[in-house]
Amino acid sequence: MTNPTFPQPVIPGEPFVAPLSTVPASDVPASTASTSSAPTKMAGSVGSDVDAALAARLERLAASRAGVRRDAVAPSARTGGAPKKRRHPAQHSRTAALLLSVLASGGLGVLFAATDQPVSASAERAGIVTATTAPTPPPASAPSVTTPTPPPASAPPVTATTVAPATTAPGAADVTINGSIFTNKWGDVQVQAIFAPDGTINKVTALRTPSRDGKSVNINNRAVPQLNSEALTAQSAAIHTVSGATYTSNDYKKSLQSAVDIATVNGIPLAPAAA
Amino acid sequence: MGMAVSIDIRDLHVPVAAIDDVVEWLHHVDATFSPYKQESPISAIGRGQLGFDDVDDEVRDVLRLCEQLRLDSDGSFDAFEVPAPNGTRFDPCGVVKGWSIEHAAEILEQRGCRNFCINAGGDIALRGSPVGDESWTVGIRHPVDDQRLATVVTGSGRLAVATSATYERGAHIINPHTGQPTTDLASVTVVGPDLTLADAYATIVFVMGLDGLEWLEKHPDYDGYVITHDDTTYWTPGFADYRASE
Repeated sequence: MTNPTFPQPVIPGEPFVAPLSTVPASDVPASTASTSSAPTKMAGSVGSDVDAALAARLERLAASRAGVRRDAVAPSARTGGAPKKRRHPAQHSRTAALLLSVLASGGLGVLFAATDQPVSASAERAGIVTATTAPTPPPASAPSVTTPTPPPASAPPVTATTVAPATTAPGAADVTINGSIFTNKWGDVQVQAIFAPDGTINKVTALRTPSRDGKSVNINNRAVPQLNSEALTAQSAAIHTVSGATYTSNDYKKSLQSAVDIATVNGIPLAPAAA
Repeated sequence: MGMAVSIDIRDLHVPVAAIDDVVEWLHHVDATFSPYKQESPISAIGRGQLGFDDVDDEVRDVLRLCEQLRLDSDGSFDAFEVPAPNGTRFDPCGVVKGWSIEHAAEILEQRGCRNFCINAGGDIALRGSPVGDESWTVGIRHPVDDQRLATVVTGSGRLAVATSATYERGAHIINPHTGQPTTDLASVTVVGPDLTLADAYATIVFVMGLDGLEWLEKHPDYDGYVITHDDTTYWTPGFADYRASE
């Protein structure tokens, strides 16, 4: 079994917003380079033909726009302008910004989107699961047990349950928070987030995901399978990362957002979003 | 655009600024290319408000990629024929996601990183190796049972892994030819050197169905692995080189 390796590209000091070298410019001939780091040949297109086709396409869009009412476009949307922010699309961006910023501040953590071992049933209610797991005294910002003000979002009132099994993230006062449960037509989605003292999220666990019919799925391969996929889970020490779209991603994000909201309401510090 | 990005750097010395630069780049990508933002250039293009010469170089590069992929896939990939969240029919997300993460990998390399893994919503750019002589090991999520993996791929050096799939009963990838969701395949994984292309090819193969594997074989550096809705798997011959052995 071979593990193919590819030459690592050495890139001279271009500014990082420069276009990728893998995008063929108009001076690149149609025939491809043979090295594995070169872009794959694109059938039948020379650069200037591509540009002309694109220019024509954009012109057609401009022509068809005249005199035709477009639905679902904000009236204040203008080229390069700054219209009123629409709350719905901004919601996605804020969550993404938060996730990106906390990962950047943490630096080196690996964040799995799903499929960790679920915690015990007693820790599944939405809210703070544990305030401290270390012998050092908790910081002043540790959340209090009682919270008189309910959070504005749909998250249920915060409660503190008994101390859950020790989390894997070390820290003076990591806070584990279960997000709210969101239910779609296939089942429940709930995540659990662990907040480090500096406000970054160390770990996100999917506590609940909709299951299918529960029975084993048989995969028939053309060749004899080289490994037993039944035994594989994302917890296998040999797996570094998992490829595949985030499962029921909208509810996952909402549950994670609710965990963040619970943290906010309880005065748990959050890492500020990157500029 | 609402996806979680994880960055796992294994070099002994990690310049913290490298990660800040990647985050800044991804925010810039979101501001420029998000179809959820009515004020983004991409939304303006969809409304017919910008010509090809009006946009920035990087937007032009993405447009060129879209056109080249449209020609290569004979229309199975067409960024101008998908319903976008902004109400237009232009959505280049099938290209932008892989492209932006591939560029993020280049940023890390420019800052001196040599061994890392970037995972953006399941699309992965790899460099070097995790530790010493090891290879990166990438699990491919099972499309039906999310507690298990369908298979595992390994590799070291420059490698991209992209998966297109629908894990819910309604498919989310629209076939531009029919305007309807595609339904033949449950999951498609493409591996190869460049995540921009691996990501786009995974989407294209998904749209094409099983015939897409034959289309993919015209691309010598890229290999694919598909799972059908009746849980049968198929892969291109070269894919066997990536599969982990027991």
